[in-house]
Formats: sequence, structure tokens, C-alpha cells
Amino acid sequence: MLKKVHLRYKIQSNHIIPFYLQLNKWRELSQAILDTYTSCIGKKYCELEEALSKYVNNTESIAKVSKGLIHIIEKKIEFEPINSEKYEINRKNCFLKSAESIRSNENYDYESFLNISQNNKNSESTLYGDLKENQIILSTPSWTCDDLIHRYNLSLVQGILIFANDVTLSIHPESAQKIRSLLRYLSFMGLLFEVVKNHSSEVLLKISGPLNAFSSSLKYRSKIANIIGILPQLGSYTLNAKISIEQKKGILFIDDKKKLKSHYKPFFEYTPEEIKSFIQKVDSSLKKVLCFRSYPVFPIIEVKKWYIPDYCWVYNEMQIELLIFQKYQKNMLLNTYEKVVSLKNKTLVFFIDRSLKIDLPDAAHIHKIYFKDIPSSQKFIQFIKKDILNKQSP
Amino acid sequence: MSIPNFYFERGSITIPAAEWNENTQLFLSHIFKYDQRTDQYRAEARHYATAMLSLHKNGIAYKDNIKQFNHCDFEFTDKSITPRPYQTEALNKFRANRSRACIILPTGAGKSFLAMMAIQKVKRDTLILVPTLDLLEQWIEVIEKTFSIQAGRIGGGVKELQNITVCTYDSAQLMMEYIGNRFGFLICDECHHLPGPQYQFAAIMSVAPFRLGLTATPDRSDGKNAYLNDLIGPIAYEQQIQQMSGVYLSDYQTHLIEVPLTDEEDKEYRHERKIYTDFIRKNNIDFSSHASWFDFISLCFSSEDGKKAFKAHQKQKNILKTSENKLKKLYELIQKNKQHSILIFTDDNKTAYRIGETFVLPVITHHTKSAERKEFLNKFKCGAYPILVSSKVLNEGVDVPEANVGIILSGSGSKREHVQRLGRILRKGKNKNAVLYELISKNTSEKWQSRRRREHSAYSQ
Repeated sequence: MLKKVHLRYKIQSNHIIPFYLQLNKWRELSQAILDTYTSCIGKKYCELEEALSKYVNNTESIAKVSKGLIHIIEKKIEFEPINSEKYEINRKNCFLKSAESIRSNENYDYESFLNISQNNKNSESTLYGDLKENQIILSTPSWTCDDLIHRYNLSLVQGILIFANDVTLSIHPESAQKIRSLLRYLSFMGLLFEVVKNHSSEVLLKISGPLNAFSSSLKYRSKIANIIGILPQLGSYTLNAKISIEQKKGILFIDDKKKLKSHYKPFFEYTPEEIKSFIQKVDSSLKKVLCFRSYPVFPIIEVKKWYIPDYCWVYNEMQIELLIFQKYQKNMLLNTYEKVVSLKNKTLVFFIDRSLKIDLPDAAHIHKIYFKDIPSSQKFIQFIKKDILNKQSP
Repeated sequence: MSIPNFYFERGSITIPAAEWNENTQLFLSHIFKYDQRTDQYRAEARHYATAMLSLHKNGIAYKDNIKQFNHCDFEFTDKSITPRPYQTEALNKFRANRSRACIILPTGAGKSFLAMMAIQKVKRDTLILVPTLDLLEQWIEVIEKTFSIQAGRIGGGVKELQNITVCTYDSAQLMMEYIGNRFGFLICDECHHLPGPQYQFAAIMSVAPFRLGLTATPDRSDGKNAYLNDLIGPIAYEQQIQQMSGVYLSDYQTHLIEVPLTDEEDKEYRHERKIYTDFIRKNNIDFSSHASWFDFISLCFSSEDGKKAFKAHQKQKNILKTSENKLKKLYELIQKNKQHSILIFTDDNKTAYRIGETFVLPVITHHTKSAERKEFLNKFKCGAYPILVSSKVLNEGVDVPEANVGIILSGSGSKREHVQRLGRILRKGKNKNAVLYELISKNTSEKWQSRRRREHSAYSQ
């Protein structure tokens, strides 16, 4: 994330417009800085600082961009391991001798004192040779100039987003897993969200931290800023944030058309093998009669209550929703059951790990199937054929 | 009417909306706010005690699922220690203020011992917030020695919770959303740091009903010291250096020494200074307001003249920091005080290391590893190292009772920094007379900077 001093943006018609680096315009500088780092491998860090000074002390825009690029690369430099202990022992000996000479020196003689002091030092190394500026650079990141620019653009948005008071995220989800992963991420980060709008084509979330209920809360802004790192993995999205920065206010608008690339580890891609296999078997077995929906509507029962089915099929205009509860999801099972027990116009299939052993009240529209460790596709297919298709067929 | 349940949730306290009733509306609506995101009523965790007391006093039933701290008895290992009269008085004032107050005492007056007395009286799991890892180590030593218990620590990559835990402000602002309900007593050392934009969340997200703030210098240049009243409590007791010097603190003298630049340095200084001041005048920059420094920086990078002015500004400052005669004078002072324990303060790490390299002296900065830092301090305490050099690290809190001579080679215009630096050498010792030397370059801008930082009663001798 770029620091405030690195940020380049303008405010126009109440909008914050970040100055993204265009590949064609900034490739040269990006490459030059990366080359400077590479050329300093094996040299001291202070030599690198010297070599970079021509970019840092330049015209305003080049200096600011350079500082931002350097800030991003800095964290990824590796230094040659140093024997700190050797330096520490050397220092200890030097300081004891130096203390002795300070105490024993009778006359005021600055020059000879300096000579004695310097002679006390080990001539092979500087006294504080283990400081960062004296350390030898071992490796620098092997990014291309384009990689660095993409990282810069993402960090620029994060740097601005940290000043957000209010963030609204609109996503056009491809699957329920992605929604679920996003919500799990928000919850893991301690953020709260409000489902403002929910259609099959768009979900609108307002995201904030618990303390944002009170004015001028900064606490969760860095966590909110980190969301931008996972958004490019969502596919289609738009983000609107109300920003207050340097006593100015504006709206930051970002969408997938900005082509922000994220180097964050894939967050949404993981689906357990057993679930993949389950859904493939169910789909191939029932595809002639059931229409599979990869992204079921994100159902809101009342204004503040929502749940997300894992999978959804449509049969004769009847929606069949499947909700899977693993052994560690007891609370989620109870909460969801409470929410959906009154939804009598739906057909809901609760697929529950046997170890949960919860006595749930019966409801005609909720079917409970238990599994041991791995959800069994056979059980589900049998249930659909026996209880749904047979009963519903004309 | 259902009984309201109170929960701790990531630095806030909540009541489910379904349990919000006439009573909660009547007694808690001024601190709780409906949170439509979660269908709960929510308040900042710091209001926990107010909320509970309000319901309790009015005989309203409620269920407290928040409190995770215990009533603890802490016994002094050495029962013969008697507090100084002002420590007892300060403790009484703190207790009289419902154990929520700030105490202002000079460095060396025994704030840590006062805190131990407060912990013993309050009898709750205690969290102590400190600004640096050095202070964290120091507090742990004091706690373990005073109560013969193991103290917990959060900071520097360690997270160990105990009945009394010490935590850095940096770690607290990250951790408080998880541990905010684990401690009933919150002590903020060097509490002038607390009102910072991020650090304040350490106090906002804590439920601790009892709070003690300790500092020698509560004033902040941004005026946010007023926030301490809300975050901790009012100032209940205050003593200044002058009131205690000679009795509970060492007698002290301060000497301002003006050192001339060499002819060559003077010529270079005037040249660079002129480039800088011409630019300032040309652009009508007024440094009396805080924003002007930022105006200067932004102007500097928008023109070639500006860049030159900025370079000139840096160069003239560097000339003053380690001028030849300053170094000679420094040596003279070292020689004059060679039987004493000397602390040398500089404005930045670079100068500190330059002094360290030139005179072969131990330097403590934030780069110094914990073990080596500890060794430097121990050797200084036992007299093996007569001198320590530091930029900012030793400004605050770190206890170096043996130090009786301070030499300020360079510094900012901050009064707080200057008072804290003086405080380092004032801890009472047998026949101890402390001396603080301040070296400034004659006929240069350092004179004005020195005048600004000396605008404190401690320097009005």
C-alpha cells in the first residue's frame, strides 16, 4: 500500500481520480528502477540509495512515482546474511577500550583522542557495519516492468482507499462460492456488510467496520483498503468509496474496466475436490430433468436477513436449493435454519454432517439428509428422484 | 420484557435489537446507537462501565457476557517499601476520581511504583500500554520484581497474556479488538501518545472500567491532550520538575553553550541559508503555522529553485549538526565529566552513528537489537560504558538512573522532547547533581530553535 506522501490523484467534480501509471508512458522508468536494483546486487544498500537518488530527486511527478515504485520494491529485497554476533563482539571490545582511554586520558588533546579511539576499532570492518545501509544486497524481485506498474496501481488505490469513510461494492457474481468466499473474507477481517440490493445479476454490499457506527473511526480502514486486492478475482465489480483526504472530500470509483491486476493469492478459486465431484455427479445424473443454476439468487428473507444456498436447480418452475453444512458449521446451520424455517414456498435440502447431531424441528419444505464426512451424491440423487420428481410428476 | 444480553464484539459492546427495551432506551440511549448492519445496538467498548453502572444503579436486570477479567490480589514482594508522600497523595486522588485519572509526574519521580500501588488497590487483571519495546522490557522487570509473578507481554512478535500484561501501543491498536474485554485496569504509560489518530483506539476498544494515565509531559503540539479526559480521565494530580528537584529529584543545572562555526563552515552555512531564506521570502512562506512546512515541501518539488532551496535547507542543517567545533566541545565536555555517566542526544540516527563511529561509543537507536540494547544499558548502569549516544530512543521512559550528565548536540524545537531529555538525568541518587549541556552553533538558526524548546518552567532557573 502506498503511503500518503506517494499518492498521486486529483479531485475533479467531486471525484477522486487516481493517476494510474499507463504502461506505455511509465515502462521506461519502471524498468530503469528495476535495473538499478538489479545492478546493485552484491553492493551495499547505501550504494543503491545513491544510485536511486537521481530518480528521487527529479521533477515532481517522476520523483513521486519513483518513490512509490521504490516503496513497493523495498519490501522484497533480500540481504546477504550477516554475522551480527561478530559485529556485536567487535563493538563490545572497542567500547571497553574506548571507555578505558576516555578515563585514562589526562590532557585535553582532541586529535590524539580521535587517533586512540580509531585505533581501538577493528580495522577490518566499520563499527556499525551491520546497519542496513552497510548490508549487501543479495537479491531483488524478478518482476517485469509491467508487473511493477500493476503493483503500483493496486497500491495507489489501496493508499487512497485507506481514507474511505463509506464503501459500497457492487458485484456481478458468477457463482455462489465466490459470494460466500467474499463474505467469509469480510467476516475474517472483522468487517461488517449490509446487503443493500440483491438480484440475480447484481449484489450490492455496503462495507464498514464495527466502529464505523460512530463518527470519524479510522480503525478498520486498512482492512477495507485490503479488499481491493481480492476484487480483481471477482470478475465483474464496481466500488464506490467516499474519501476524506487532506481536508478534501470526493468519491473514488473503481471497476473491473480499470484492469487493475492483483498479485494477491487466488482467494476464490478453491473448491474442495469432494464438492466438485459431488456437483458433477448430481448434475450429470439429473441434467435431463433439472436445470442447474451455478449462481442461485442470493435470497433475502427480510431486510436484514439473508442466506446463500450452495447450489440451486429449477424443476417445473420450482426452485430446489441445496445447503451443505460441514462438521464445523453448527452455528451456521442453526442460524440458517432459523431464517428459512418460515419460507414455505421453497424446497430446501439441508445436507448435514452426521457429527453435528442437532435436533432441528421439522418443516414440510425443509428436507434433511445426513452424510458422514463427505456429502454423498448418491443419497442426494435418490432423494431428488424419490421425493421430488416422483411426487411432482404429472 | 426480555433481559438484555451484553456482548463484546471487536472493540465495541452490543445488545441484540430484539432485547433493546424501555429500560435500555431510558438509560443507555445516550451511548448506544442502533446498528442496522447487524440489527444490534452498539457502543464503543470504553462505555462498558458507564452502561453497567447505569443499569445496576437503577435496579435493571441484564446479563453481562462481556467481562473476561478477574478480581486479583497482588502482594508486594518487599512489604517494607514505603511510598513517598506525593505517591500516596497521587494514589488517593486517583482513587477519589473513581480510579480513572491521569497523573503528571516528572521523570524519575517513581511513576512505575505508583502504578504498582494502583494495581494492588484496583485488584483487577491489568494491561499496561507503553510506547517502545525498551519500556515494555523495563515494565516487565518492575512487575516481576514487585509482585514476584510472571508478567505477560504483547509486542515484538510475542503474545503472552498474564494477569498483568505489558503491551506496546502499536500492538494494542491491532490486538484490542480481541483482548479489549480481558482487562479491568488499563494503564497508559507516556499517555501523551494515546490521543494519536490510531493509538486512541487502544483506549476506545477497551472495556476497562479503571484507567490510569502517566506522563511527565501531557501537552501535545496538536492540542489533542484534551482527549485524555475522555479516553482515560481528568488530571487528578500534577507535580513539576522544579517542585521536586533537590528533594525527590536531583539538583540540576542547565548550561547553554554557543559554539562558533569554523570560517569555512560559516561561509558555506551562510551561502546555503541564503538560498533557502530567499526562496522562503519569495514565496511568502510563514512557518508560524503548522501547514506551512507542507506548503514549503510541495513548493520545493514544483520548481528547480524549490529543489535547490530544499537541498540548501538540508545542507545548512547538516553543517550545524556536527560542526567541527561542536565535536571538539563535545570531547571537552566528555573529558571534563569523564568520571560521570553521560548521555549524548542527537536529532537523528545518522548523527548519532557519526558520533558513535568518530568517538567509538555505543549508540542506541531503533535499529539496535533488543539483546545488545539491554547489554549497553546494563554496562552503562554498572559503569563499564561511561557514555551512551542516542537520537530519540532514550528521550522517553527508559530508566537510566546512573546518568547525571546530559549533552544535547542537536534536537528539535519541541519542549516535550527537551523536558524528557532533562528528565533522563534527574532520578535521585546519593549526592547526585545533574548537569545538562546544550550545544548550539553561534549566530545560527539553532539559537531560535533552542529558545523555543526552553520555554518551560524547568529551564527558568
